[in-house]
Amino acid sequence: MKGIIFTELVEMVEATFSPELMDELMEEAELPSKGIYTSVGTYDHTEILTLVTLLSEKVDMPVVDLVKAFGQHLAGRFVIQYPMFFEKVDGLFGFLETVDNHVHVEVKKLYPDAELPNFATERVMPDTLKMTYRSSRPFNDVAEGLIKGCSEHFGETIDMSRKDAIVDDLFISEFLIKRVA
Amino acid sequence: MGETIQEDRLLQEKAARKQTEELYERRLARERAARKQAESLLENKSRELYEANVKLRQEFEQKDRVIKDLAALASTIRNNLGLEEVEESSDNPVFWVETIQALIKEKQRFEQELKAAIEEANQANRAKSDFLANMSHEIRTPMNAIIGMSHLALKTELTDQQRNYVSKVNRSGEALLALLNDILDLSKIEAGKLELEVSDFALSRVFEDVYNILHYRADEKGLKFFVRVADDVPKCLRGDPLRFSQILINLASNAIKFTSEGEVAIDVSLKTLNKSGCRLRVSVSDTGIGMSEEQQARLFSAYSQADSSTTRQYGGTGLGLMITKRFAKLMNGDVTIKSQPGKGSVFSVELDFQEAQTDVSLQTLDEESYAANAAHLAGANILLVEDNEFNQEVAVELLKQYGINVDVVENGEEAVIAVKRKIYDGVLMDCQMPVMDGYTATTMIRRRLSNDDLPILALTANVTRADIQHAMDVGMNGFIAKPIEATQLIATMAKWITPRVPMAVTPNLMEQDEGVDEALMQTLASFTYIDTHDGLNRIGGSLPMYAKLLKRFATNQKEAVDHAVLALSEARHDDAIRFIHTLKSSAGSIGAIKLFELAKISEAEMRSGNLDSVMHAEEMKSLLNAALNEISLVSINAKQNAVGNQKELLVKLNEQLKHFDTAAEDTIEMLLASSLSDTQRSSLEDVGRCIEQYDFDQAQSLCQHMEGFQ
Repeated sequence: MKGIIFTELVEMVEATFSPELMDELMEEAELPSKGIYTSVGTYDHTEILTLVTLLSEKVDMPVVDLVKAFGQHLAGRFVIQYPMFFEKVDGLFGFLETVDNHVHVEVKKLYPDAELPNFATERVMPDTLKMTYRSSRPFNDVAEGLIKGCSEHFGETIDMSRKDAIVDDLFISEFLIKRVA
Repeated sequence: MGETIQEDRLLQEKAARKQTEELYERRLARERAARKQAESLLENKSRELYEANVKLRQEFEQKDRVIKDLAALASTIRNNLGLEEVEESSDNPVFWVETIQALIKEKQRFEQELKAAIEEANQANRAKSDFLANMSHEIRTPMNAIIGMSHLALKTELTDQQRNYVSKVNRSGEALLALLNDILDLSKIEAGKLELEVSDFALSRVFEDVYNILHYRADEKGLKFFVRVADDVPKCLRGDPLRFSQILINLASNAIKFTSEGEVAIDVSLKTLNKSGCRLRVSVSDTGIGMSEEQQARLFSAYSQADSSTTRQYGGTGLGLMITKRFAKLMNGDVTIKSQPGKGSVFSVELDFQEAQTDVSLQTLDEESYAANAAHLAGANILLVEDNEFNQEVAVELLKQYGINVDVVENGEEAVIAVKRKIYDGVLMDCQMPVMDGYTATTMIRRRLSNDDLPILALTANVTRADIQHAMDVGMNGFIAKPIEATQLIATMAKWITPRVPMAVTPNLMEQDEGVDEALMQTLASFTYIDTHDGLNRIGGSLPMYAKLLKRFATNQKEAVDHAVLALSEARHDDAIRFIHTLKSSAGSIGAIKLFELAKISEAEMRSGNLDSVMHAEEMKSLLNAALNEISLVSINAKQNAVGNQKELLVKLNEQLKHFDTAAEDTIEMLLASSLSDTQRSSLEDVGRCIEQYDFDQAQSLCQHMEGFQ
């Protein structure tokens, strides 16, 4: 998994809770990387899961909520760090439709070894987009948080429903996103 | 107190710790920012690297495609050239090297084939030109019969209708012959065989020729026709007078053809003049139908006229202008046109000429000085060294007229002996002679006999600077150009020769004792192949003598060309050259200019080592025959004087019949005019009837069985 996910998690925990809590998590988690992350590196995705599970115990919050919140935070960070992806697109739907064919293509240029999830989109109705997440990793919740965060960036209110499935070791989530306003 | 102090210390320690924490936090923030900068830098580098990679890959793919295309092309080439298949072709150096080598070989092979093809095409073209030339000659022979016989027919009693028919035959024949001549010229030009002659000539002669040939035609159409020559145009030039006059005739006869009223003028002006020569501008203007610009543009292509309706209305092939242009090109010139429909045309041509090396305008000496020169020479004793019998006769007759005594010898050796034996006032020395030439003889006279005072004048057809230098070197005093021309001969002789015993009485030069033979004059004036005006001038205007010379020419030269051709075929080169040389000088003397010119070229060709064939043989033959035809007319009109030996005439008749020569009719008339028995007379009349019906075979067999002639 790309390093930016790890560095952003660390920063979010430090900012939302405290650097001391982050330090505790690192000490207790006994991570193979020892928590030494850089955005341009690649690390085992299970380290994220370890950290989030520990965090959930420490702050007594459900893992799902924490992960979704992280996804939302990540969207905001992406907007700042990679503004070009958010320009010249027609709102949330327009952006989501470019993820597979543009954003991920660009990511691949920088990180040829990145294993990226697949986001198929389909406009089922003028105000409704069906987006299907497919990944070898169980980060459906991160995806949901990301969608949420993006809608906030574009200033759009959405209703979102989600169906999950696991097929042939693939984690699949079908998001039905309806633009409300 | 103690507590307070401790509290103070604790507060101090806390403050210090906080300071340290803040310090670390700032440092951490800096480190984190630095890390992010490094990460961003790395990402940018990654992107650059990626883009460079993409570009490289594209270029590679493109090159790969090019190589693949090339390899495919090379494979096709290999297949076409029949090379074996090679695997891994594009990476295999053998494949490429082999292919390129094969291509080079193929290219060489192709070039050779191309060369062969070009050679073949050239050969075909030469063959075409030769064929054309031969055909023209083949056609020309019967054409001469048509023209000659219709000409003769016109001299007989005819009804108006018959005259009309026959004159049309005659005119058509002339037109056809002119056309043939054009075709011949053109084929020669195309075969690159046409070379310009280089000789000195008097401009006035050319214009006289042109005027004489064309003014009849202009007169017939009621057109004014004149030649205007600017004062600053040189009188003598060096170049090709024949081609020059052909250019003028072509342009002017076109002008006459396309003009129905008004005038046709030839204007000659000097364009530039310098040491080496001059450039003349000749403009032929008319008041004829004119041409549009479009028509003008088409004019100079071969076989093309202004447009096809022109052909219908005015006839012609359009060859003339093209030939004119080619001739002009040979003289560094070009033909230009200014014309407007309905307003006439001006054809202009500029031509280069060299400066004349000898003054050939001597012939324009006025009569007074001519008479004075002749008077000065009267009583002189002259030795003529000349191998050509005909030239001997011309010179002797001429000189006798002026009271000059002439001894004749035939070569240089005899000349040296004669000079040793007798004191002469001067020697006329031919340059080229058998046994000993004129140069050697002069050297002998000057050195061996130590005779430096005797005037020796060269008689030579070649008047180049080199010839003059050669003659000067051996000690000759002056030059007389052959064919001999009375004025020049007399003038040059008078300059060098003074008789030891001058004759008291001056003979009257222009006196004709028997009165002028008007009929003969008229006959001579009708000649076209012999410039009788020129011929007469050459011998000082003596009509009887000229007639005699003409007949002599006819007898001696009639088979000259055949003899030369035969001699050459038997590898008797010197004989061949001599025959043509003699023909040349004889023709020049009587004024058969065209024949003279051709013989001159032909002789020069042979002398320069070109001994494959007699150049211009057929043309010379037809010109010779035409001249003989004309000369035969002299016999008729001068028959009172010309009745000679019947036997001689009979031999001549036989000869003529053998050659299907219609001049046989004249010979028969001459024979009939002599005293004959009735049997002889009726036999001859039979022969005449056969000739009238063109039954030459029958005529010949009749003739051979005639007897009783002395």
